[in-house]
Amino acid sequence: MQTYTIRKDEIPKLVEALKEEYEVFGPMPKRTSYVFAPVTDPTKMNLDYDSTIMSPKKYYLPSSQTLMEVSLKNATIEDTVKDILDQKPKILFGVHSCDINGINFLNRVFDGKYDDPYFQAYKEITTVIGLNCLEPCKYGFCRAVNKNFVLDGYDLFLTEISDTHYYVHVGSPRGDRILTIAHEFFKEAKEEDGAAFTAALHKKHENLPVALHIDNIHETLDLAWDDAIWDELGEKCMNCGSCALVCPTCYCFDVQDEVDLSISKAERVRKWDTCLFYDFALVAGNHNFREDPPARLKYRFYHKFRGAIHDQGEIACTGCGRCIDACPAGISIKDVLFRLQEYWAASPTPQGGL
Amino acid sequence: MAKAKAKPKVGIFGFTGCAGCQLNILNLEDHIVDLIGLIDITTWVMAKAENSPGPWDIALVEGSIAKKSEIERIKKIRENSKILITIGSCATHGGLPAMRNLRDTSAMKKTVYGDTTDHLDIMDKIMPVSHYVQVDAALPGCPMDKNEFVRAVKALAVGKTPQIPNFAVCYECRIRENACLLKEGKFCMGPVTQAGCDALCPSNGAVCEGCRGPVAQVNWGAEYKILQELGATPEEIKRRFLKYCPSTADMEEFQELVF
Ligand code: SF4
Ligand code: SF4
Ligand code: SF4
Ligand code: SF4
Repeated sequence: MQTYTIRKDEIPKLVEALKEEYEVFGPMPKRTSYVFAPVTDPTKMNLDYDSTIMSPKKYYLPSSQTLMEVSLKNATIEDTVKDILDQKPKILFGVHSCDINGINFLNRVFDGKYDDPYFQAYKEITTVIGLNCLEPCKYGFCRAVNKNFVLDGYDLFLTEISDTHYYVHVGSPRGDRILTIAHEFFKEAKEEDGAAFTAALHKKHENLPVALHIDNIHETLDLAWDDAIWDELGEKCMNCGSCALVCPTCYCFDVQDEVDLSISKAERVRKWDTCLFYDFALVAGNHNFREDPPARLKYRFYHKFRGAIHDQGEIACTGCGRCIDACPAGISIKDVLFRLQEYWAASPTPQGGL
Repeated sequence: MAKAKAKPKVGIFGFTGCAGCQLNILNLEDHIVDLIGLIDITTWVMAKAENSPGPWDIALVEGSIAKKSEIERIKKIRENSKILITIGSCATHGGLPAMRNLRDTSAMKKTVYGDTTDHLDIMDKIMPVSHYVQVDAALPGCPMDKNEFVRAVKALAVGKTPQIPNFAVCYECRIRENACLLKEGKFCMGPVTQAGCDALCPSNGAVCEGCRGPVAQVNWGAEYKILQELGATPEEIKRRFLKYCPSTADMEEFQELVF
């Protein structure tokens, strides 16, 4: 595979050049944090960002999205898939490994288990430029869940190899397209660049902590069903939903029909929903499968680390740490997992050599 | 398509409050013409010269019940309305006027009116509308949110129950990607407050004051602990919890708290 390098100080110019063909989104500062937002001023985009409030999930599954438009007058229904495909193609710039894995997870749901044309249309128009994390972020634990690297799901992937340069991997024809239209910014990597890349990976492995181990996590959860920890968390949790909303792998939504004031048009809209909310498991006849608020927080853990293994073949957590940052009650998924594993599944000590 | 039904007859009524919610209806410039196309406002003393004595399909009630005469009035409106909706925090939760409940009314009367206070039709406790009559839906907020109002009227006009968010302000705050103010050490009430305002205050850098009242299945205890850890005194926390919704003091969950 051909690899390249690019100068860091050329990135703003690269973004400007790409803007002709694409709408570019990247980590932009907001108050004390960062958010993925349109890169209006490329010099403000900060690729040294720690994390963002919301994951790039919002570019594949918007928080509120019109699925179809109904005209009551003409008795017609039109879905919005083609409107998505008609949008200017997007580039997500500087997506960390955890979040690429998050998008890959959503892909298992919306282009695997279920066939969701809206998600697939967004995927179609979106190019991902990934960014390797060589230092840990404040709350993340990606390495503990094997999400500190990516195998696929990126079009270009950048790794910092010096104060001045990134190393560039090309992951797809869409990535090639960027090299074609902005070739002046990319240089073919030389042997010493390859060596610098290897050194960067070494540095990464030294820096990223293994915060906990998750072997047998699903069995741990079987054993811990009646653990006192759930009551303790239930007392603290206010079911505000923040943890699920910021999560790159939480994919639940509600569908609502909204009528126009003129009563001549209507829209079917889907909006993010979370298992933490009262209405989530409320069904006909006013029955609620999870009436008690603490049962709903517990459910979130069981879905992520047990149910998802059955449904999607892997846990629904990339270790991005956003839910820890977002929780007003200070509940840390990392600490909860650590405590459960300590008690129920102490890590096996490696025995001898081969 | 079904034949157009007769427009629902609507009455808008003001009780004790600042009339800001009614004003908000008048301020619906973009929507008012469409609204009039949907509903027939037969009674609205604040805005109309001629008003029907009822009955109404929908009564929209603003303001809390502070006087004995208001009890009779609200009961009459209820009897003559198919659906009764409270608009604003006063009607829904008691609102700012009911802050008076936390003080000694007789002393206040004396300060303002001197010794002759017998003519005053003032009850010791100001109560939300739901204390006296059945309320079918509530649009809380100080003032009520215009968009939520329009959504509710649309739903009612096509015979549906208005959808009221059963989750906290944090939902809207997260979706707007605000950095959390509680995390910055500010006393935000978002996690215990019913959404629907699109997180108006936190999105402008100010804490949620809880004007929309407690969210369903509110966890006061958890919010109490958080505010206390951030340095709020129990007295301060109590004041925050009750400011817009003095009627919460009667909630069982609230009475379990130790201030
Ligand atoms: S559960 Fe928390 S740490 Fe895991 S992916 Fe979701 S937000 Fe990130
Ligand atoms: S963010 Fe924290 S308080 Fe809010 S629902 Fe999640 S665990 Fe509960
Ligand atoms: S700022 Fe307030 S409303 Fe927003 S997430 Fe934080 S606690 Fe919730
Ligand atoms: S953020 Fe809170 S205080 Fe502000 S309008 Fe909304 S509910 Fe009211």
